[in-house]
Amino acid sequence: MTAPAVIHVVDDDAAMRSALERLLQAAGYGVRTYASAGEFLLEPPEGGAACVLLDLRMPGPSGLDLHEALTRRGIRVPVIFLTGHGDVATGVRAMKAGASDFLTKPVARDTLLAAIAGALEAGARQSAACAEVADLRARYARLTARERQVFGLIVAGKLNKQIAGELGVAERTVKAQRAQVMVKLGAAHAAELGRIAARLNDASG
Amino acid sequence: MRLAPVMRVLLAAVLGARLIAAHGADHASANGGEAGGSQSSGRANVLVISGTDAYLPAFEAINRAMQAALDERHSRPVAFLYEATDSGRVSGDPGPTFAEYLENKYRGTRIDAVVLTTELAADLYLEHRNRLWPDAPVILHSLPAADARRVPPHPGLVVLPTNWGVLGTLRIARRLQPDARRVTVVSGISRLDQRILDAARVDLERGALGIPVEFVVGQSPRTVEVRLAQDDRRSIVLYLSMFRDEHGGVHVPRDVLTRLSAASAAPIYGIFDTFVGHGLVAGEMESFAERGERVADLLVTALARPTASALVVPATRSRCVADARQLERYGLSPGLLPDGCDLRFVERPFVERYWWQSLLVAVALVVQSVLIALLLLQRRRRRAAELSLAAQRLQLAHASRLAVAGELTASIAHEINQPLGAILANAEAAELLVQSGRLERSELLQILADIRRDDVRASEVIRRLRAMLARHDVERRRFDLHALVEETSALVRTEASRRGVAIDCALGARHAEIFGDRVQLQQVLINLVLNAFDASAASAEGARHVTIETCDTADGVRMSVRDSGPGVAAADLPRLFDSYFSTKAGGMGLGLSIARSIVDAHGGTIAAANTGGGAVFVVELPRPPSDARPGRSGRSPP
Repeated sequence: MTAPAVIHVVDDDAAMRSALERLLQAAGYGVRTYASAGEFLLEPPEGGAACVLLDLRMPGPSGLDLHEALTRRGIRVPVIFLTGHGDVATGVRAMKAGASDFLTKPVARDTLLAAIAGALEAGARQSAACAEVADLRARYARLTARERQVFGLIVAGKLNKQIAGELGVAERTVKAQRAQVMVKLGAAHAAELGRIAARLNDASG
Repeated sequence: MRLAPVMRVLLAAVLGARLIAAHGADHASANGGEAGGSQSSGRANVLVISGTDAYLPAFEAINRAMQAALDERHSRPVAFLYEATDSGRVSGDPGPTFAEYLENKYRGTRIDAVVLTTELAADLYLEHRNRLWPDAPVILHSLPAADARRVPPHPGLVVLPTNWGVLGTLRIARRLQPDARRVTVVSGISRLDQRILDAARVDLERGALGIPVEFVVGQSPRTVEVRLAQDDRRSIVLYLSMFRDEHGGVHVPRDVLTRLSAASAAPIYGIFDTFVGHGLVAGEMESFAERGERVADLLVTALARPTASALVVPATRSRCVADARQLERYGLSPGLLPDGCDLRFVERPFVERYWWQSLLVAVALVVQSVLIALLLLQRRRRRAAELSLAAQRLQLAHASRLAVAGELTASIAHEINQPLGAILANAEAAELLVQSGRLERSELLQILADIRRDDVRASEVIRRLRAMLARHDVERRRFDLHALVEETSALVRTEASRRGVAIDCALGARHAEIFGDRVQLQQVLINLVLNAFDASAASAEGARHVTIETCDTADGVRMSVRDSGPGVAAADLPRLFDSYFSTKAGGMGLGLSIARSIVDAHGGTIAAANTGGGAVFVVELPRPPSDARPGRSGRSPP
């Protein structure tokens, strides 16, 4: 059995923190609590399944501020906002900033747990996607300059003959390089190259 | 004695007549009766000889009526010539010299008739009639009926006696004073006085009154006055007449009555018509005017055809006469008077006598009353308006608190939802643990304790809010300003953190107890604090500070709210506390105006000033009076 997902609770209200900790532990999660955004940033979550329950309104940096800081630092962890008094404007802002959910206190257990499960799943999906892209990037990095040129032209939909003409080399040379690219990028056939190119583009975009 | 103008003219005429007569007599002696002849042409000469003084009011009344009636009834003009023996007052006897005097005086003057007044004149004249004017008819009046019979019968003598109504008068007195215990009879000692008194004695003896009768005869008016003043209302005073007292004082009886009546404690009754109106309560009497008219009638008859023998005609009717003013003065009821009694000087009702003045006064009163009523109405309306204004102010203050609450909604909701969220999470955690069978007893107790703590927290927030929002009447009591400041800062703490404002309290006052309406003063403080938050919003986050301070003053406590905003524009400072003046975009401009009216109603002051870095609002409140008790304020609520 894998280690339980860790829920990071950031709330300035001690009573709320301890109550959430108790509830989430009872629901089978690992829980870490923080009294402020700053405290959380001192000990950001390590790898593994995780999710942040963030109080929107706290003294000092607010929940939104913290969320932005995490995004800037590339810490990709799903964030669920909790607020004592939800209003549409802050909700929209939070969702646009990439929050996974926006809940108002007092929140029913089922709603909270469902939101956490959803966030963890999304997080897991995202981290899987991230891992694939990283692999592709690594593979791509192993291509020679000529091979990258050939890859680009293939993805652009050019035939071997056209590529040979464009690069001023024999068509046979292009075929060998193409085979090399497919091996290095782990593509079973030519069509897969297009998908790989799209994912690399997405990730770099 | 006051003489009416008519009387004076009459008097002048009489004196003139005498002078003319005297003058005429001289001429007659010289010219052989020329004057007499000229007088006899048209007019009749009537010589009136009075046994009393010529100006006795009774005889003036009789003579006046007589002259008036004669002028009216007689075909020829009649000249009256007057003589008076005054034997009624003085004791001497003019005797034969008087006859001689008359003889000399009226020589050459034809005397057509002689009128004798009282038996005193009769005695004198009739004795010498043959010497004087034996053919002239004689009318004798005003002598008691008893004496009338004793007058020697003369041809052409007509006697009109008088009835002195002593008995009738006493009967009237007994009717008016049924509980009277004595009768006091007052009289003078002149001859006429004596005659009247003697007649009265006879009547009194006959009357059998059953109560003692006392005679006060001949005493000076001064003495009688004193005596009557010491009398009381159980006495009946019968005043007959007083021409002369035993000290030789000579009087007009009516004037004596006026004196006596002014002093007397007992009601005074009398028998002479002329006394009525001069202090007499009542009496039975003949009318002198009527007697005068009767004499005139007798004269008319006598002048036309003198009777051969003496004739005694019946006296004029006596009747009851009373003075309403005197009755009232002695508390006697006019209802007890005999039927048909002539009640004089009845005070006409005031309104009747002064009808137009009364009308004026009544109109003025009505107008005044209407004015007063209007003023009262106006006052009531103003009062009602004041009350409704006060009620409106109270409502406005309440509305303003509601507005404050609206402003605080976000932070209040947060403050309430926080414990509610914790409670829910705790309860659900417990549920999960129970379901999974992992719940330990100690943890359950911890969870329950947490739930209770959070519940208390939430209800505390609600309590504070309700305390602020409750619609309430003005209620004054002693309270600690510091507790108020702390509670208020708790109420706005979340709002402060929401707005990124640091709020501090520096409570330096050592005597922070004040007397007033806690809710209203909290409203003032919240208003100032929220304004300070608004002002601080202009500063960068981290530089937003609001400080609430208190300190002692000479006669109370000062509370200031300091902010780190840009301060108040100098031009706005004087108008800051005016209604509907606001420097905020969406401001109603009521907050500070309400704050000022609240502080005013507490006898305090509120002011604003700029500090180096922001504005400060200072509220000064007086120290509570040493004997201030909690209770409703008498002042109108702001």
